[in-house]
Amino acid sequence: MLNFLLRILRSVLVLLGVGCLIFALIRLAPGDPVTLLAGPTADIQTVEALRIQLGLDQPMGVQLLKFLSNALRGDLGESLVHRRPVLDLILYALPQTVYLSICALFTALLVSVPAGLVSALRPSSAADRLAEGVVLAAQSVPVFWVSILLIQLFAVRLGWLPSSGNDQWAAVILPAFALSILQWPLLTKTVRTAAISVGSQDYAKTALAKGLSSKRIVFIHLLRNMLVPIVTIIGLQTGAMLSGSVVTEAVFAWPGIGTLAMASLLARDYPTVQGIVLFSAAIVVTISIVADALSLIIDPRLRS
Amino acid sequence: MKSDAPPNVDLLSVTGLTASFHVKGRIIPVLHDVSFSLKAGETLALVGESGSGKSVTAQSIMRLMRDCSIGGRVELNGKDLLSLSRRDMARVRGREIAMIFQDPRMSLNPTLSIGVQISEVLQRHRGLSAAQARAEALRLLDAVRISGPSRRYDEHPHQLSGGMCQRVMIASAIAGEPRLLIADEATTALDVTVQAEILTLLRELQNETGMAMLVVTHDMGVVAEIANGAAVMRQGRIVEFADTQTLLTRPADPYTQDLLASVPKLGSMAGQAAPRYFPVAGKVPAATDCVVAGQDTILSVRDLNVRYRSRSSFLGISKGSNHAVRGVTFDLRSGETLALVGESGSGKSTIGRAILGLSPVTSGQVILAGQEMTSLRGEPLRQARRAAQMVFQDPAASLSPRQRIRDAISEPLRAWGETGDINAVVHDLLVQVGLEPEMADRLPHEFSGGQRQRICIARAMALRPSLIVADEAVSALDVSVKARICNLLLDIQRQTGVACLFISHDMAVVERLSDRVAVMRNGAILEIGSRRDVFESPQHAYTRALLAAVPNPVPRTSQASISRQ
Repeated sequence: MLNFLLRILRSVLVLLGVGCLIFALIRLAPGDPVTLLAGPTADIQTVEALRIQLGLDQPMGVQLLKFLSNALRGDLGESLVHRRPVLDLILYALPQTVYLSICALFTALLVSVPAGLVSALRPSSAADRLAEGVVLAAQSVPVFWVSILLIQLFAVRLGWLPSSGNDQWAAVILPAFALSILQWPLLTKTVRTAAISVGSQDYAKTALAKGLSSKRIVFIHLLRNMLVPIVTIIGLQTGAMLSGSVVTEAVFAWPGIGTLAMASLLARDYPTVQGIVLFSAAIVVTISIVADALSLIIDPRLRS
Repeated sequence: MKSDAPPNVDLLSVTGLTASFHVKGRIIPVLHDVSFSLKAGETLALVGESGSGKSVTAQSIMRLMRDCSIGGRVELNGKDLLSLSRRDMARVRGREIAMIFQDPRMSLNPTLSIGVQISEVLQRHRGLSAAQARAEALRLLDAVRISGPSRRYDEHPHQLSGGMCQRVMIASAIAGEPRLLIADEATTALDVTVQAEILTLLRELQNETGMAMLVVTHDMGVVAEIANGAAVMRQGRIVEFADTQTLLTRPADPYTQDLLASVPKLGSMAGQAAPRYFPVAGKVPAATDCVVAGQDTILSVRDLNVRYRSRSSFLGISKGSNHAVRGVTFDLRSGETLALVGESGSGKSTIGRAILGLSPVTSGQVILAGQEMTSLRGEPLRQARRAAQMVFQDPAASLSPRQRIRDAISEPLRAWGETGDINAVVHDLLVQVGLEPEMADRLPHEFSGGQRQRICIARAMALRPSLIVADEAVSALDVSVKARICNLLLDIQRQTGVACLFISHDMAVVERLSDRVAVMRNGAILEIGSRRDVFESPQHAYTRALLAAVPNPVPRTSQASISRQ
């Protein structure tokens, strides 16, 4: 328990570090939000007045401290472009991305678990070759390009699925599939390795020697032992999923956090970009804590 | 007791059993025409060295192997097991034949509680409800002498010692009330005192239930302890099949005779002062064949303490410590062998590593060839380490699989900037350890286990050290190989006068090889003295228990008569 509290404390430190980094990085990027906001026709007085109004005239150190202390209290500031609290923008867009990511995760599991199991149980069979080929292709092809092909085929040619937006339930299928492709290779390999290593353990032989039913051997004895590495990898891959969603959401015009991040970056909307990065980091950290907690539940050896 | 079969009919009969592995499209035969039989209530041992096919035979009876085709007949109470469907075979496993394995910790599922792993057998094979199964599992835990069963029921394997895990395995094996229990090297991985307890338990359970046992082992001592009869296996064939008494006293087959001759027998060195060679291939060593220790002190260990702190990963908060070595003091002279004996966790390996500066020393002194080691750091420590070299238990794991043995052996020489004809040195070392110099360009996987240990010894000798630390260096080897490697160590000591710290749990080997013996337990030396004193008049009760627990390859009946005399 003490370990867990320490872990959470450490996570807060990590997030403060991320906050400092993104604060510095976005200000190092060329472009001035105030000039962009005021428009090309504005004169210098208007621009400077706007700068003071937005608090961007203050020294960097003051701005940073303000940002971090507000963030600790849950206040991420106000968007320069939308003139609304950043938290509201994020809380509107985030559920969309979470929904998309969960769909993508399940799609990835639907592909990777059978593919990994097949290559573990029937090495160099036709099914294994097929699984290997599909995974290799997924690894080699850029996602945005596959996304465009998917739209071309299923939305334009066949007209089965919507190409963009999120106003129909079926609209999630194409982006979720495209986003899941990124996860295939690592997840398949993890499932394969876990299945091979668990299957060759002595306790697998013991379960067989006890004459248990195949169902019990697989679901009670083997699956649980396989889950630890798989849960860990899924936890680690959340970050990749979030950054992948930036591209996917752009291609499919999905109104999630990736689209918001893209727009805010182009407008140099400092508070919004900072807020999104901080929020994404918090999600990644939280999920890795959850994944560790799950591992503890699955494997009693990790508890001592 | 359930014995619906009449006592004189075979319970298990194996006829013309063959097995072949399928490896990368090739078929490799591993069993040839294996036949034997076993009556209800009897114990048969399958004995042999690694690769003899004894485990494959046991697992073929249970049909546990993948990518393996099995031929011949295996009959249990007249039912041919090899022709059963997979579903029917699953009803035989655990119900009519149960099996326990070598490594009890690995054989239990780490994610399930031990209680569940017993009651699942009861639910499957005896049709008990969950509540009934729990009650019966508690009774079984009690039957295998685990104290506080209801407290243990929900514990997981990692919370139990190795011996307790094997008891749990036995409980889950007898849960289905099998007619036959197969024990595949079931005591090999256990400490010798625990092994004695498990063997006793198996005998008692056999008396209570009347089950037959098939015991797979490499240890003639275990055969003597538990079996009525034994089948000696070699290269997938049974070379001799006899009752235990006959096998141990009048072996007929030359291979069995060899095997028995190379088994070190505790007590065979009575009256001898110096270490002696093992008889190999029928050659009994002369009494003069021994190593005489020199006078120079090579190693002095003074009040050595090693304490490991377990820290939590954050803020370095100490969560307690493990006192691995407690106030250990001893000296070692040139040409002398001091054996550190003890069971797992006694701290004997930690001492070996601490001498070479591989374990952090908490306090105390290690003086190696006149150098105080514990105060040295960095380059001076590296220089001082040259005087001592190490040989480990697993020769396969201590050689890089991608390094030719010429490079492996010469690596220490090159690391120390030795000039001159390195190839000639490698040549001489290979000859010294009994290998062909032409083998220098081969890779480790092209050698047998014994040859690989010879390579490790050659590598350790390359820098002409004054001390060799042999950490369980012969423990993983087959008996016949073990005897030869021990003889090689004696040879090298005689030629070079190197001192040897021989870390081992094997009392019989220690009796042969050592000049002096230190018995360790819980990090401390309980007793240290000349080999004769320790073995012939042990002072400490633990030493006596340790010696008594060693299974000796002498028939039980005559063992009893010896103890009566």
